[in-house]
Amino acid sequence: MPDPKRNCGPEDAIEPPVLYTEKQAGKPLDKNNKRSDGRKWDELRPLYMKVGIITKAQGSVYLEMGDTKTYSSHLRTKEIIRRDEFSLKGKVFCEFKFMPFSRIHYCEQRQSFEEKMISKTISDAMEGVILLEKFPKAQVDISIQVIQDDGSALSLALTAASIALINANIEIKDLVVGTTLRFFDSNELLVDPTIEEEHGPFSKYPGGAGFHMAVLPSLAQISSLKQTGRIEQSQARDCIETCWESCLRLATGIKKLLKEANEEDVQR
Amino acid sequence: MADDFRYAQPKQYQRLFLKDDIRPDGRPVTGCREVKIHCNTVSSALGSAMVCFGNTRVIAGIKGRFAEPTINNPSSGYIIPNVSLPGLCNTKYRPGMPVDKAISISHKLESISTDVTDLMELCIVPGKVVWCLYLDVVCINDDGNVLDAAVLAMTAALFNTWLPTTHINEETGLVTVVPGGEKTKMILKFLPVTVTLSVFDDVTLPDPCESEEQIEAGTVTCCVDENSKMRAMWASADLPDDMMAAALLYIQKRASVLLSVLRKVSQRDTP
Repeated sequence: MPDPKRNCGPEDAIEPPVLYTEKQAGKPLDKNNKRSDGRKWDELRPLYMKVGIITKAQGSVYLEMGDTKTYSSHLRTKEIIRRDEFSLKGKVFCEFKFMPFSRIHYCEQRQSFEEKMISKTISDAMEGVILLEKFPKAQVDISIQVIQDDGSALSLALTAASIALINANIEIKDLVVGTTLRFFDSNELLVDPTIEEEHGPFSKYPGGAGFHMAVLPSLAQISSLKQTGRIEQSQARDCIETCWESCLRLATGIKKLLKEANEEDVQR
Repeated sequence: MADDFRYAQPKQYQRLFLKDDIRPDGRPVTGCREVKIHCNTVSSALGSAMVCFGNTRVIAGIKGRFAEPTINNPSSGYIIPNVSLPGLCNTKYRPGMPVDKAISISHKLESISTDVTDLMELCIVPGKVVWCLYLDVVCINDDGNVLDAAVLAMTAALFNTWLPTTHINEETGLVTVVPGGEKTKMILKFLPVTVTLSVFDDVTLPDPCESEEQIEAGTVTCCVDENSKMRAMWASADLPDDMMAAALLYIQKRASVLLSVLRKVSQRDTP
């Protein structure tokens, strides 16, 4: 449907079909138990974080894990003006968007259904963490843009949203840390999958299940859990425990980085 | 207290600084913010660039799709620019429909980008399949002068775009992209760069930051290419002739500085 306010291209444009000449299917773990990028099954990609990067927002962070890059910011806590929406507890509004060039296929500028679902997931997770009683009649706005999606975008976005809120000095119960996990029918688990390994339309390895889990490390609570695919109950338990351990590992790393960033700020 | 005065009387605040030939953020009156360009930052795009003018940060990326050409131009591809100022970049923007500012910058980019490359180069099968390149510029931090940053990012992204080779199946006529195949660099006819001067009280201030943009009387923007030819000009302020001439001279100098940075960075960031 043509959007009058944006430059829309020709309506019949299609993604260029890619024809693979060799059989590309392989196994997620090769004979040395290493993945295609050399990691072990439970190894997370290196993390890079920079807070306060968006000067025009109250709090912001740039988070990068491997090739998945995302910016998140908390803009403002504004008053809800409409009278029938008055409540003693604040509300959370989250806008999540993939940049048009971030995925393998072109993403439209308008929010797609998938992005709206992810926005809702993140705002639901944040509702449990922010002390909304301190913001009566107000709305906390979070905005997340993903520059490049190389797997685990939802978990990284959720982590980035909580770090942005911390940077904005919004009162929250705990840091929220998320990781993604991919489970295969051959009983192999991969933590923090890349886009080729992740359960989804671009996965090289079909079947199995994909897990996304977000955890509050100090309170030892699960903030958000999402599973797609098909899995046995006992295997699901193993997946949840593995996710939990990876989240805790990631949380120690992030807390250390936040502390260093805070000390730099104080020195300035 | 200085902050209170700045919010209550922004124009007076600026005038006090301009009396001493300095701007509120410490720059001299004709000074511009530091420019940083990084090319090929996003590997999922055919070409990408990130441009920072001081705190203003903008990312441009190019994605390609196949489309049918129009009947009037059966061998011409498309370049579709779009600028988005998401809620992320500044508290004054809300999520949803694009803001007027974003639409106006998109239109300017469109008028500059129609000529920037030979659209016949984007043809794959004349009359049937052409490349349709979506050029999207997303602002991450809006601290003023998004137009200049967006145009520079567009030029840098196009300059570093590599189109994948296509394979045409003779029997079915299906055009496919060869995965991991050779890529051809896109050739640009010229490198457009814009320079914006904000007009305030008979003084022209180049590269305005956000607080200066809010109190300006108008702007003069000029698009110049590497051969010092003027490609486009937009002016929304009334300037006397001599000031306009001085402004154009300044714009030419600044444009050559921006282009030299772009060329140096493109060599550094080529994969």
